Amino acid sequence: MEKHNLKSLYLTLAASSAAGYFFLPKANWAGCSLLIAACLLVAFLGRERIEDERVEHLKLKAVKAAFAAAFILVFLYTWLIAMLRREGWREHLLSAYDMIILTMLIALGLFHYWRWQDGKAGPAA
Amino acid sequence: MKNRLKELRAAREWSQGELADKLAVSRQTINAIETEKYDPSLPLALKIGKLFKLPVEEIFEADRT
Repeated sequence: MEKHNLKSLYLTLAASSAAGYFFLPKANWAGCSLLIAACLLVAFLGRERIEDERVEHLKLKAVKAAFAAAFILVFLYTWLIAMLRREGWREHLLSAYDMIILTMLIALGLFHYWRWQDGKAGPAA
Repeated sequence: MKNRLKELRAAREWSQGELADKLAVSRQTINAIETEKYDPSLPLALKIGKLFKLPVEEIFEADRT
């Protein structure tokens, strides 16, 4: 199996792990989030079918934007949790793996969106 | 940066895919250069110049700011 085809496999594994957490009663988020984070990292950092300079440029741009966006989202989430905290309410505390998952999801989305835009024909001259 | 890549490619009746294969890049990269979304690196620009047998300055023109 070619290296770039493994990306679909890793994304499927990540999605299955997430689904497993929600549907299996004994699943714990610590283990699931580790697997999801690892799969998303490999999917993002893995080789594309044609790994040229534009792909490297877009991946770097995507991860920079994703880091900033993920940081803002985590900050807002933590602030909201502090604001809305109620007695007896058990909130989900974010781990480093959650941050990696969020960053990689945003980075993958941005990279593929920009890559799709690259392939679109420009305005007619 | 403005460029004449589309015009030069059309003159030789090459598709974007064929040009991409000759330059060992993806078709999306060629489209991004032609639509001026992306400026190629120096090695790629020199490769383009060598392929079309033209100096880089005759293919790419810096934007006037």
